[in-house]
Amino acid sequence: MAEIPPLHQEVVLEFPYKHSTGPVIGRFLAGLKEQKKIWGQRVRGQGVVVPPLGYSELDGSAGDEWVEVQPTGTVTAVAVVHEPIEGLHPFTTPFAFVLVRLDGADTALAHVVKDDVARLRVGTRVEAVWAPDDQRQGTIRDIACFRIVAT
Amino acid sequence: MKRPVAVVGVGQTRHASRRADVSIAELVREAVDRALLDAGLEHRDIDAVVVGKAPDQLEGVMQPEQFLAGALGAHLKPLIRVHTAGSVGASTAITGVTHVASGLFERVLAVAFEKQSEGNAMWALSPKMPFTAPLVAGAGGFFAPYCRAYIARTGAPPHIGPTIAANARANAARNDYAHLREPMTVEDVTNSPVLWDPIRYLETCPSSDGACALVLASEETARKGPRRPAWVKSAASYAEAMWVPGRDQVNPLAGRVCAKHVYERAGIRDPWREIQTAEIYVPFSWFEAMWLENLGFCDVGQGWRVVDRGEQRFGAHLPINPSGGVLCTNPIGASGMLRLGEAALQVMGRAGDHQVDGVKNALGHAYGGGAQYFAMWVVSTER
Repeated sequence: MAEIPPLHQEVVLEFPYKHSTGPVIGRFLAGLKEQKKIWGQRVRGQGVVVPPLGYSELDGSAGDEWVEVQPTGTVTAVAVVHEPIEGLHPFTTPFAFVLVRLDGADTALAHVVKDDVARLRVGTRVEAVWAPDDQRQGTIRDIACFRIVAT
Repeated sequence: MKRPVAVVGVGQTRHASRRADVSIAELVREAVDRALLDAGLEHRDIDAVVVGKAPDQLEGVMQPEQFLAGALGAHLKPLIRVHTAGSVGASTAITGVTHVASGLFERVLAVAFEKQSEGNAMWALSPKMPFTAPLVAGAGGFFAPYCRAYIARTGAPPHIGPTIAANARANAARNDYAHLREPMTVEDVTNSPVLWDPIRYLETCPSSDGACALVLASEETARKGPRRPAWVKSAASYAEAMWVPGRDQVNPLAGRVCAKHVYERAGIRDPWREIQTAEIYVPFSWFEAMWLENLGFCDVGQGWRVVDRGEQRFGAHLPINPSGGVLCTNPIGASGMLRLGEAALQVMGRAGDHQVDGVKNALGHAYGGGAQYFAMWVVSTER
């Protein structure tokens, strides 16, 4: 057989899924969209879990009372992205992935900080920046990002 | 097996075309909670967890076993995921069996689920690999030619498929958990539109949201349990390569080998006489006749005659799928485990209104991929 170079083939995977959020995550997301409030849930042996799961990951018991946590919190981990990839990352300018333990919560929330990332450290105080009223859709990005609290 | 293994708990969700009332984690917990309650155990009593589901493209959630670890009660325990396409629920249960049989674990939780409403199975199950035609035929388009080949080989009359479908629905009417329970006649089925010749709409499994969980345990645990266990006499799974020349998808070799394996290990010489009921994986009507032959319940070419004589009906010689089976309830990843779990319920004597009288041995069976993966167990009232 004659020598022929092998080909490449591009495959694009795309499909619109529709997830049922259920009563627990559903209520958390509705709180972001409708109330600009962040709700957690007290869970036996775990304190206040945000976002709430509805059950204890330690023993499977059902979640307990709902607790509103604060839109302010403390960074527990940070990774700065100096060269964002357009179309993939949430911002086109340098930003940071952070874990934030919100005031009143016992778990850390994964999110992003858009500005002033050179000043971010573990322990930095941050606050939620809400998406405008007409842009909140009931997703975690209804909190558009976090920003460093002015001191 | 290295040591005896028993099914001590069976749990399943209410199945429906769309369980919008729950998230995936909550759906899984519904089955897990019921299985643990059934076994009289709690999360802390479980030593290891095995989870299975169909490909991630069904719900579009990557590595669901990761975010479900807590829902499965797997915190600080071994957790593995099993993946064998449509047979995965059965393979998952069998992996749980080997965990216990190995002597390393006393009580293992096996869980399988699917939330088909969140995506589209036809799209998800169609290959999107380089240099493979993306036909989006779905399972029906893939399997219909084998049904047609079966008809051509055996000369089976056209009413056999509709007869199987109507019987499945009559069975599901006795199963509180089943998804489709409305009765339908052979005529109703025959008058429904042909989707993939020879398979009509009412000869096709539904898309379901649902989950199943089993607690598998050592003999010591089983003896202490609140209820009569189902003893796993034998369990096996076999795969078949896709492109082997001479491969026969109408009567697959891997299915015959797997059946022979589980019968031999269970001491069964004549399955037609020694097994009282079977839950087998029938996503499209004709497969019931085909698998009756593949599983050795009758000679090759005779499966449709068993159906025609009504010997596989509820109350007859060998009731097939007394739960209604996959034709009435199909949360894909869980469908195989439901077959094995329903077989266990039959030998435990706790299948409710669809309990078959006098069950000593029951077969649970599933297949998946391009009729490639086979997974089966024989469960019994006796160790």
